[in-house]
Amino acid sequence: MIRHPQLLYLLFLPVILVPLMIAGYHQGLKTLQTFFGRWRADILKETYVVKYFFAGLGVFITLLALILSLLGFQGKKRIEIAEHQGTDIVFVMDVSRSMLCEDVEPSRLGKAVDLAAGIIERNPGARFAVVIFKGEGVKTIPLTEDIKAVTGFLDILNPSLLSAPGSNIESAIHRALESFTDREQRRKIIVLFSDGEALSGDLDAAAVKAVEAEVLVLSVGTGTKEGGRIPLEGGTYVTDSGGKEVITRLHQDTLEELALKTSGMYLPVSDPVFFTRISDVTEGKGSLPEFKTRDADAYRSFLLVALGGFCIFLLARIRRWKNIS
Amino acid sequence: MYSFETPEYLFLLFLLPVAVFFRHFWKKRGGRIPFAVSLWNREYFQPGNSLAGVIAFLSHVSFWCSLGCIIIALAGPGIVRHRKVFLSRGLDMMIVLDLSPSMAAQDFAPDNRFESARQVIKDLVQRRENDPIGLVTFGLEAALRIPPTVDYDMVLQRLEDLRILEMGDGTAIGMGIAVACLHLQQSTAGEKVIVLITDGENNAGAILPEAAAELAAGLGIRVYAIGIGSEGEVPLEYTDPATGKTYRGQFVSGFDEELLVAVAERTGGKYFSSSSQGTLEAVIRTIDSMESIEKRVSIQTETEEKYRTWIAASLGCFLLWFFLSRLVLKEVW
Repeated sequence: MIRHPQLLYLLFLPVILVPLMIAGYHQGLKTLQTFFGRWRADILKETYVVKYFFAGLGVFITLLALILSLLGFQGKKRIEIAEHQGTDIVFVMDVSRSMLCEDVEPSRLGKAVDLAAGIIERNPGARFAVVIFKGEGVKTIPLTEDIKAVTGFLDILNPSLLSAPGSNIESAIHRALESFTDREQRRKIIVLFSDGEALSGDLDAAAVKAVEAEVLVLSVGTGTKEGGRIPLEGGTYVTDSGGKEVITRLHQDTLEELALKTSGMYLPVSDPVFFTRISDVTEGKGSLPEFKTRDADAYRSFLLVALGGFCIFLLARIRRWKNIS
Repeated sequence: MYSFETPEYLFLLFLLPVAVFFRHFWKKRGGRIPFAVSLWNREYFQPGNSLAGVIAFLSHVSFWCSLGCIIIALAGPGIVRHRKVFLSRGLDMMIVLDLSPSMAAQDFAPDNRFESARQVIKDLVQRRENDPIGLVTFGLEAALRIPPTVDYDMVLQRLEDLRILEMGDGTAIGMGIAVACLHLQQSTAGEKVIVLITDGENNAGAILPEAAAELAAGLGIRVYAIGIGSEGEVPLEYTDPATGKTYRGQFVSGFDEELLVAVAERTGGKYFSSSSQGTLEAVIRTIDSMESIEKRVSIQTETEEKYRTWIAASLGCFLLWFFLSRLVLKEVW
């Protein structure tokens, strides 16, 4: 796996190098003819071909190896057992209008609140925080043991708490990561409740930040694939510009991807063993990592190859020309 | 502090001068072709372009820098940082602050009682380490502004957002203490403390301060009560956050000292009187020092790896060398 795929474009450099090297070969031949005349250049050519080939090979190998070392190929994982003094859980709640859909009982948002309350109840001694998001994420309750404050706030959740439209997942994850503290060695977990619809922001950037902060993301797909209408006050439903009722559906791909990238877990709200699976994570049981994994980059192998490329180049340059006197 | 994961690789740097010697200074090196620089009896060839010399020098320097950076990157450079990790839990502290209009009295330089109180609370928050701090405000009613947390940035932000009179015109001291107790009730902290800052008499709320003190005592919460303000007539100015209208006037200042003493003593806390900014600061510092508990701490070492920076530098130097050598100087390899 590559940690910095955004640098893959650098691989064009060795490709560009090849025609440059070929042009350089012909140019070198001409230079030899200019300085030594045609007949002596012909004598030198045999050596020149060998020297140029190996010098070029050295340059090519060095350039390619340097780029590969920058890409961050993951080598062996260094595993360190994590010793935790407790668990910190940040609930990230999508409060976009689609969360009012009633395809799950009582509504997507209501179900999310119920599940969050269940998690709180099953994790005595843990600290909880709440981040809500629409167009951007907002930290509303900081990490606290004060369950009354957390549940009290969850009870009043509704889409009108935030005005900015949209569902910016990146901003929400960033706010959630800010909620954690490094003052204590605690298990850090984000539980994201969302229907995954129209999520915006850079998911990869958010996932990278979460991994760096050693935070597991459990994403909960709140809704159904069949979906439903979005109710409004007065018994009406949200309509599109053509007056047709909007049907909102669960988009679990994004949520699954986020969980996968942070070594976390995706859970549908309908999972019959939802709380057991959550507890496995919050209590450090089960299959999810209860250790810090440090990805040991394979950069050193590539650097050694680059060093070898340098050596080939240097040896080619130092190699003696034929005696032409 | 800069450190290296495998510093043994740095010994390769000693080979660099040797390589430079063989590449550039060794007389028997093979990378040269002797050729005549003048014709018989004619002028000598003059290498006139000094810019080419500078570029050639730059080209060589970037080549060797690139090689040097690779060796340094191989050694696994990183910045070592030490992090303090608390192994024991701190105490829980709830600040209970009066937001009644009388807190706008201007007998606390440079502004008023409320601003002075806000400033000393900020100082207190910034001095604590790993002690969850919460905030309750009261006027006619009382409300939790932030639950006890070690997210001090958020505590400071909520403090900054406070406005006089936003909890209504009144002084519900008992309600303030009761709300604080409610939110400290489930705390697992060994020590729980309320710091009450008020300048008035209890005149609102369904819960009497004495009853709230009983509740606090029952939960093992100590109350430090701070009565602030000077005696007599004082000027006052505040803006109603609901209407935006500014009020000015004089009022006769005074607070129920006996009540505050009783509340503090009932809970095993202490009462302090403060009539100026200086004494308020001293009082808060006293409480801060009284409520220091022993903390178990471990120092963790973390290394921020920096090898990518060196690889990037190596790649940059390498590309510069290639550009100068092949495309500018057109060297024959």
